[in-house]
Amino acid sequence: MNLKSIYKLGSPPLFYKLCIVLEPWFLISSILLIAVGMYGGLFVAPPDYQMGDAFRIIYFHVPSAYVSMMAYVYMATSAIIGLIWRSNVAFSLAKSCAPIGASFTFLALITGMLWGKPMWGTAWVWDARLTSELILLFLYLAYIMLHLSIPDRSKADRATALLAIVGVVNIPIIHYSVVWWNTLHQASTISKFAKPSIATEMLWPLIIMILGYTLLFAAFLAKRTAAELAVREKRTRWLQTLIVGDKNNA
Amino acid sequence: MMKVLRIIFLKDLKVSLRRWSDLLTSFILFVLVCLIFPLTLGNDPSLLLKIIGPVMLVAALLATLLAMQNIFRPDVLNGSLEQLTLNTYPLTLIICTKIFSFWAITSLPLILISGFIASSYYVTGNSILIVILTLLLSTPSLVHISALAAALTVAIRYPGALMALIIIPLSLPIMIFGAKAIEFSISGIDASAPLYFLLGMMFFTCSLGPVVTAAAIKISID
Amino acid sequence: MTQYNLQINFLELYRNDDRIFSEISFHLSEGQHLLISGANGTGKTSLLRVICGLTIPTGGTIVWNQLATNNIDCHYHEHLAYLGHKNALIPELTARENLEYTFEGNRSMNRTSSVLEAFGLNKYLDQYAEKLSNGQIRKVALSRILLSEKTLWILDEPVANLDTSGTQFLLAEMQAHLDQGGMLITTSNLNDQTLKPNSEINLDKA
Repeated sequence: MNLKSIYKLGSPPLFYKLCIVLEPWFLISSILLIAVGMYGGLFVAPPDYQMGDAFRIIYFHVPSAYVSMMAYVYMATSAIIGLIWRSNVAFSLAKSCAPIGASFTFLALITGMLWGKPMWGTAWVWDARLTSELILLFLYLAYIMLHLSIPDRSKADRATALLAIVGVVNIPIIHYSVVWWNTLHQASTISKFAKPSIATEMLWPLIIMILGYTLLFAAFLAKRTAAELAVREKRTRWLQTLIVGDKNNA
Repeated sequence: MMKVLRIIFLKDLKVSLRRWSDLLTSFILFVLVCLIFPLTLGNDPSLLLKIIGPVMLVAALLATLLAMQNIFRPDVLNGSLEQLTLNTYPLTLIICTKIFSFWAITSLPLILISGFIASSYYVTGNSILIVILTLLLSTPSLVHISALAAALTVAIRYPGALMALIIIPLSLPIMIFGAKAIEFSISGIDASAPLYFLLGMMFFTCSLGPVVTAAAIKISID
Repeated sequence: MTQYNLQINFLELYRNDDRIFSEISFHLSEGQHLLISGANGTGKTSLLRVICGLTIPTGGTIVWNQLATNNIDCHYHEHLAYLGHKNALIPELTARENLEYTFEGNRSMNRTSSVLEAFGLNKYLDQYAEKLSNGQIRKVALSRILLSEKTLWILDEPVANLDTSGTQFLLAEMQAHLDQGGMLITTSNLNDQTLKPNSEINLDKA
């Protein structure tokens, strides 16, 4: 892939068309993968000898958590690209990532709490990973609220880009601190969200679910970015002809 | 160059001293929060010794949050910050000096009074020095993070909640390690590991913080 | 002695899809004065801020001495003095401290005292800036520009809030600045021709 084709992606009309075209494919393939993964996870995989059937929530919790973290890194990368190249496409991507990433984080927290209830009797447990997820949710909310509070669009883009960059640099530090803090408190509760030696029959539905969730995120992102790009480019000719051209054909 | 920075430092010091009512508010907040806990929890030495680390760090965070709301806003409103961005001297160094002067005015009183507050929590001997050292190492990082939050929100009319939302996740490592340092020293364990982390965080935020804050100021003044 | 010049090419500014101004181009060399005129709200202040470099334009370039201003070798800000609507005076400092705070160069004491005398500020130097009247604050801010020894002065409505003697002194100083090879960009919404500009940009009809 030569550099020129990557550079062309930064053009709003091309990216818009790409999003519109790809979104149904992402959606359909993600629904298929999630369906297969759910079947495999809920029915085919054998129950865990330690946790019984309750462990099956891992098939919803781990993919959500994975997507939430990947979305933040993606958001920060788009923000850096937008800041350096002043690209409307990159800023639209970053802005659209935030609510979707926040929703997946929220989902990860809810499923984590649902797992905690049968496991330890309490809905919330100060496990290192759950706490890191909560902090990630705050970082997303800070980004979204900063975007909403600044009325001028380009100023908001650049300020939130800085916030995203600072956040992504700090995430490893925060996570490490919480892990260190947590290991000091781990006298009684053992949290084994990790899957060090997981059986193959339990692993493949998990991988499929992760892929499915990622494609679902991509589908949502494509639709949202296309909408955001259309709003930003509303005074340009290509969008006008796109809208008006459709009316002429219809 | 140093002459210029010294002029800015002294000028900011002078201005902050003349805006003394803000600083007194944050100082009083710190003292009150620290004193409310023994008043409400009762006079149990073992309990007080357990909570002094977290209480002191949280009180420092709240005091910093309150004080830093006014680091850039008055200068943006009267236009003098714009003139600094138009200067030939790098804005990063100017912001660094500004934040340093603000830290000296807002956090040094906290650090000085922390020794007395610690002794009122039944902390003895060497641990009082560790408490002071912990605040000395953690307040610069808190101040730089709050300055970044202030710079991002300077154009917003009521930024308090948004600043808190930005500051709390970013300052979490400092809070965790600071509280642990105090707790270790009170239980007699060597507290150097968390203190080294605080030192590392201080170098990290004090070196990169002004760079990002200067960029944020340029964006917000736009 | 290098010849300073400023070249502006096709500046445009859009804020949230609203067009503030577009297709602004001009050339300014030493001894020239550019006037930006227009009714209230036509974007004069925004244009001035873009020229200073405070606001980043949506399109167009600013070239100082044949170097673009975002080029790291371009020393645009070393030669620039800007005064906007906000006076950049810190209220908690006295007028004298505010003037000392601009740590630029070593201007002669004679020059300083002559400017302050002409504005009638000598009596008020040790007053806190918040206690001065609007006109006096404006005079202190203008003294800072007059004493700055910068080549390019960018002034947003310079004679606003000034009394007659102040206005006369300021206009004389601006003319002297131009005669010494300085450059001037001002805005005005009055139709006064007290200072004849070399060129004019009118934002009304855009």
